[in-house]
Amino acid sequence: MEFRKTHRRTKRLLGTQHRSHAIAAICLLAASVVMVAGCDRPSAGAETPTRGMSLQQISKLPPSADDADKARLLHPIQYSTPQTPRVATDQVDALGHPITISCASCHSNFSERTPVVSAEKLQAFHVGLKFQHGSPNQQLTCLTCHHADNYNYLRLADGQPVEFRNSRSMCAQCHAAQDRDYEHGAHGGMNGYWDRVQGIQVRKTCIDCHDPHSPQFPHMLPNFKPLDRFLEPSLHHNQHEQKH
Amino acid sequence: MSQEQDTKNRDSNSETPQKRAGMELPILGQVSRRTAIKGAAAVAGVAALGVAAAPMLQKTAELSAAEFMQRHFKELTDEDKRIIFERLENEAQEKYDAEVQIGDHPPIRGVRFGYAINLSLCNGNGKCMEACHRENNHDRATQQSYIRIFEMPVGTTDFEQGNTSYDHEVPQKSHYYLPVQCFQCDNPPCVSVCPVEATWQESDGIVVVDYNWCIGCRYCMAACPYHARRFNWKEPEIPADEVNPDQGYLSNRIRPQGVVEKCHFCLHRTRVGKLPACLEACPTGARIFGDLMDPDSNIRWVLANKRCFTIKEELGTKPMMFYFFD
Amino acid sequence: MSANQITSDTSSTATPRGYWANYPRFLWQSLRAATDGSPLFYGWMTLLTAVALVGVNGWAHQYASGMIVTHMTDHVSWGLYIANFTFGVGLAAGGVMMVIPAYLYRNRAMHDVVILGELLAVAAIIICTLFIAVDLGRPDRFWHIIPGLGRFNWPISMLTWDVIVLNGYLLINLHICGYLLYTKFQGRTPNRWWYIPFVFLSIIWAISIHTVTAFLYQGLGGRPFWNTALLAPRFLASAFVSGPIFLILTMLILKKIAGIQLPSQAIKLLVQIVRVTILINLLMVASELFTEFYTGAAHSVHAYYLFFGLHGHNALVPWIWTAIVLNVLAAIFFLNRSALESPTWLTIACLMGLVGIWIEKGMGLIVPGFVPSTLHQIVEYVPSLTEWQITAGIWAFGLMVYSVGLKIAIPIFRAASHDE
Repeated sequence: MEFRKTHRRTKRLLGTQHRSHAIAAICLLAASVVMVAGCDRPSAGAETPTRGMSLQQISKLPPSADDADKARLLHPIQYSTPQTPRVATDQVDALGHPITISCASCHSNFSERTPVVSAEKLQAFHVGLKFQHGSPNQQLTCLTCHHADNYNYLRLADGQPVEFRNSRSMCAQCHAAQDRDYEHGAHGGMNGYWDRVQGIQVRKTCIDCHDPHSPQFPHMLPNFKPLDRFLEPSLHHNQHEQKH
Repeated sequence: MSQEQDTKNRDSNSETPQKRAGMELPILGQVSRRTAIKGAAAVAGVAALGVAAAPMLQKTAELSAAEFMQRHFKELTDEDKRIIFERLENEAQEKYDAEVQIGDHPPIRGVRFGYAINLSLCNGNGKCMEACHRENNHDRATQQSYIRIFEMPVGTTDFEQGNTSYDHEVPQKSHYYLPVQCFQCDNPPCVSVCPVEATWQESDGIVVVDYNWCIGCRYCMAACPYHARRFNWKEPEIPADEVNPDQGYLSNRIRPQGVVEKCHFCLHRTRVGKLPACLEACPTGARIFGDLMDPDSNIRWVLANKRCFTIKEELGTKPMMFYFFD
Repeated sequence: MSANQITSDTSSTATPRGYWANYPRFLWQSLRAATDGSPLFYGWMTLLTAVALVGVNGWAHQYASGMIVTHMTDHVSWGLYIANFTFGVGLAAGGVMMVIPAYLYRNRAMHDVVILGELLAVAAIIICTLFIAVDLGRPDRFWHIIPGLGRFNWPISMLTWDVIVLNGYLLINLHICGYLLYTKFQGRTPNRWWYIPFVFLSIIWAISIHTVTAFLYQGLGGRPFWNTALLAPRFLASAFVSGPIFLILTMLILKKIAGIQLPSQAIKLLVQIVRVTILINLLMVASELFTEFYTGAAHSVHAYYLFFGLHGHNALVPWIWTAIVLNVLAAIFFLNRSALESPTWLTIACLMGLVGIWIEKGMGLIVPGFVPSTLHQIVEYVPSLTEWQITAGIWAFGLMVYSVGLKIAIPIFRAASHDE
């Protein structure tokens, strides 16, 4: 009963009030149009040169007009250059400086008869050297890299001697991909300036990070953790256990 | 029930004098007695309010008029900036006992920064987080940093499988490490939502925050899909000798309480041509930084020669931080 | 009581004085009406003042020592305040459910009580504004958001839209309340052109405040739990449950405690409205949950966390199930006509609905949007004592505003309707 009454009333009123409904609808529509239009306006960074470009587009951008001038003004890249190694003798000179000798001092007297593949074979000298370079079936020996005729030099695959300071060119024989990445700043750490117009970029070299005899990058223990609120140690542990 | 009736009775009793007071023209004696009680109650109320709000009033007293009235960064003249920077330097001296220089560091014309991370090299050692912590004058107690590193099992890019709180030797077998920080998106949702334009993108792509304009509503934190923004829940604590004195107004100056902050690609370094602190600290050389507009830059070579991807690309944020595996 | 007092005064002030000259007198009478009352009224106001002061003290501490006193984190960066803000906007919008029948459908019975809805809107908006204020890390910089003074990021930021619509709604309702009260106080018939357009505007505006508030959340692509087109309709549906329920409760309490008899037809109509809206709201919740759980995609982790907990973290599970049970029970009660004949059961049903919605669109909507975080880290959130203090304080202050409003308005309205 009551329901029917309400219904009748509603129907009657809907008839008389359709105008206000229409007004309501139009207002809502107008508001949403303004909103959507507003959202399309680019935000504060409109002047950014690559705004809206895809990764592919960015990687194909042409050089800008002043790039040529820039090239003339660039600071050099300062590469780290390894020294020719010298061996300590445990003795000091008259001034108290330790006396070191070059590798050739000994090695010109001894020649390696059988190529040494494993560091365990080294019993008289270089004891304890960790040698783990290349896969076992590659059979790398000392003389793969060290020059048999002059131990003050390294050796390229074709027998050419290389100074220690240029060791990277020797490494590159096998690690060409890494060398190419290095050449383009995508391998190996650096310091100083990204903008070589403003300053010098200092580049590490292969052996700054990789021990040439055992080049695998060492394992590390992370010693810094941001302490997010509520991520107390106990919670860390729980989370950790559940995840593994 | 009885209590309510009781109250009602009392109501009707108390009505009578009032009614009379209302009917007749104001009889001073009666009205003033009631008014006096009301007045006393009001005074007591105000006093109680004063006591309750005391800590707030004290804190407000510390706020200088110059700081309160300071305009938005974009509206400041060079002279305004000089005065403000000087004020902030003095504040650092007073509060942190540290001598600092705050600079302006405008973006370099025609430069657009890009950053890439080689995930095959990153081993999760966390040196970048630590460098960020020191460089950017983060709170020491919380060991805050703009960077987080996820240890992810191989075979997934789902962060739910990741873990930031690992504390074992790295790298672990069958895991890779994924550092995240602000990606300086080309279409940054955090900038759109800010109601007061306290955060904006500059011409080199860096999204900055004016720490003296931010009202601390944290809408940008809700909008950022990468958890890149941090809030200063309290005033940061840094020992005087650990404060990095080389500071930028929009970057690593010591932040005030109650405002949002974020990674700014070390703009006080990168805008004078230097590399960001996290890159210099990385022992694995996994980070590559440079100018996207320079075709000879390292970052451009990486984009052209490595198969890069960005995180949550489907959101259309266009991050300017790229990842790749060798 | 003051009712009689004001009636008698109005009869004496109906002398042909200037329209504006009477205004200070109106204000003075209102102040008297607001501060005179039964011991029960004094007790109620003292209690609210005390709770509000506790809230002020909490806020003062929060302002001095930083938001560190809350339990919000970088991961869950919005909490109880924004949850209550959202609910408050719904309450404000729901108040309009009194206005629609009264003016759109010209229901005479509702005309006498429509002021309740408008006062609720005013009080609720004040509550919302305060919740935003206490959520700010730097309330001292509030002027940065004032258009003209600061920098107003309109129309890009949804929050600026919210500032506009909420303040606009407050002004519209203040105008309607003020105008109607003043003319009735003067014993005149209100001029339709001075308030009917605003009434219709307020109806549209009520929908807009809750739509815009929903857009705050649903426009965030990085938060899949909110990023759903159903959010705004859901907000409206639940608003049209909580608003009318709050008004029913108001009328029941006024009748029971202050003995103020309002037209019973008003309660009946509101019950009918809730009967429909509560079902629509449940339907929308069900639709939302179906999408989440049936798809089972990565984005449903938030819903899983909310309803079942995730990796042993289940702080919200009791909340949401309480809300669901309360909402379903309330719906059953509202559908059962005979149960609602008794004011006691009606009160219980209303309370269940109110608490159910408060959880569902408060804690049950805001917090799971942040857990797990955008990078899928789980940091849980349980409000701190300070947050509860401030929240209670704001609600107490809002209720004070509402009570004072009713105290002033009801006698004037009743006097006016008696005159007619």
